[in-house]
Amino acid sequence: MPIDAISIAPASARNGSGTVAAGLLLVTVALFFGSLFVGPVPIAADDVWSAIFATDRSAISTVIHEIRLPRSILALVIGASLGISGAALQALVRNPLAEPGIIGVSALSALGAVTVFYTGMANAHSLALPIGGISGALVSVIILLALAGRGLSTLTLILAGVAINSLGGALTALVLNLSPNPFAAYEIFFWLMGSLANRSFEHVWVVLPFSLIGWVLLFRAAHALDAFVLGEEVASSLGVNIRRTRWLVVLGSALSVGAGVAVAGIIGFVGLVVPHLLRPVVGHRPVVLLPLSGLGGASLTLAADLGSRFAVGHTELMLGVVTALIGAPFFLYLVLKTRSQLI
Amino acid sequence: MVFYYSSAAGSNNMRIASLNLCTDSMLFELAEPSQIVSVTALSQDEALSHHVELALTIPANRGLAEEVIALAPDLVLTGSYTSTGTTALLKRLGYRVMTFQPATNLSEFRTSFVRLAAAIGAQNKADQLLREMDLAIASIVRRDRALWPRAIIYRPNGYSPGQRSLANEMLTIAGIANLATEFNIEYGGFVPIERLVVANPDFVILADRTKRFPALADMVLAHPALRSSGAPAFVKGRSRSIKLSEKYWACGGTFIAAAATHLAASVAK
Repeated sequence: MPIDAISIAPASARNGSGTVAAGLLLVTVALFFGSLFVGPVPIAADDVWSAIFATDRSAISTVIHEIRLPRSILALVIGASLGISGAALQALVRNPLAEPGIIGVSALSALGAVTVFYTGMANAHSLALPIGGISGALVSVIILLALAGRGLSTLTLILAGVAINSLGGALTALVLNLSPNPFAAYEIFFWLMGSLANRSFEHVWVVLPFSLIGWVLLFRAAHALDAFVLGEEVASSLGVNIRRTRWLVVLGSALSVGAGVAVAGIIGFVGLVVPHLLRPVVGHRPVVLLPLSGLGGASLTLAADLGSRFAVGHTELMLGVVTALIGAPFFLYLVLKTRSQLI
Repeated sequence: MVFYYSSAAGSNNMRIASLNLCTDSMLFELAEPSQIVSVTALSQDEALSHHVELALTIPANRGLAEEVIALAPDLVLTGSYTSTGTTALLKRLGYRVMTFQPATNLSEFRTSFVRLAAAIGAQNKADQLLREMDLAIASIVRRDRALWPRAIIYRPNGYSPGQRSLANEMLTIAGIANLATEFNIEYGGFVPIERLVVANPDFVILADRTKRFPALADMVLAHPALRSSGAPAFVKGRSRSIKLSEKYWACGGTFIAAAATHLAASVAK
């Protein structure tokens, strides 16, 4: 393959990526199991351990199997989706600030999910909710691509994100106003902040298939995306099918992010922070960065979800609040760093 | 608070507008229908109001100052946390505005009820309604406190009213222990499902709605853990949930006696 001939990653970075992958995998596994041990009901570690392998239906094994386990799986899957999509979108539009939350993918998929839910379609069919989320995500990624025709300046990207986010928020408020449920706005206020609390395996089965398909599409685009770093013209001259790559990324990120938003609300900044932290270590090549961002996104989301359970005050924090507390200052830092490109 | 128009009190032609669901509710109980010039649109909702038929014959407002000014009422009733901008504006324009705190227990409701009655000259009616309420409450048979069934009130998103809430007082009157107080919830808070599963309540009290509409609250209750845990309140087919219309939870009223009677009868079955 011609792409391999023009390696963009420094040799040291490529050698390090194996170590990073192993480290991230270890952290992800540790956080995944660790999060089974923490919750509002204090359960001794021994009891958690034996409940993991128990087959009976005691209150404790119910808590572990039906509440904490699906929650950990969702954090893993949704976090990985955000990480992979973030890295792929950034490679596609060649801009480090492209992230599902910032460019409005999450806001429009929330709009899709809210519309489906409050019109009652979600009750009619269990797949309606994720399809609503995915449709919203699809619309926003297509808007982004339309804007990105000839490369996307940071300024255009952020302004488009502001517009799409505002539109998504406004239309969501409109849908809530039209809902016959007088508590709709109140309910959705918390839901939109993003949370994995009180989710179940039913939600896992809703998210998992779409996410897996999304990941496959994104990984299939990874090799082609390697060439995008040099610009679309160069990529095209290297024999990369631009249209196909674009559509793989559009569909892949819409499927994986949209399904996640449909069950967990908006969890921002994961797709921004993770690829950015990994790039200096493993290089810019999407073929390496995508899977590692998946692991990084999973571990960051698991860690943030774990953090959200250490309640400040009476109620546990919303997951989206925790990721924003970490991610928003990071975003500001990135904006300051790339300030020169803005002008 | 000083009322400059106290001479108006007691006269039957006093024109009153209410901008809050809970002041609507007290007004419907105390005032003559001819005295009420406007109530909130919420009072026309069967799920939230005990006086829908009457409310439908009265101009509804959405808590906006213009709507009030057009009616030129003698007295405006508002809640302390709703339409605060309107309240401030009306006061500036010289309207007589009475603001009511949401009641967090029966005695606070009683105080508000009597205060409104005094302002509109309906003291006798208030005395009579409160006496009837007290009689109805006194006739509720409760078990020894140690034998009270444990229940949780589960509201949208898993919100539960705590120690300092009218709903808690309603349970106490009915002889039911509020599980939320075991979790040290003061006014109200969110109860995660895993706490509910482990606490194993005898009953789950849900707000019943006359109209069906999609609500995220129902998603929480559909959680498989609540079905598989074996907690009596959640066992499928042997459901021990009690439903009580939303309108009994929203505000204070002398209907608390009826709601508590219903709850007491439901747990005694």
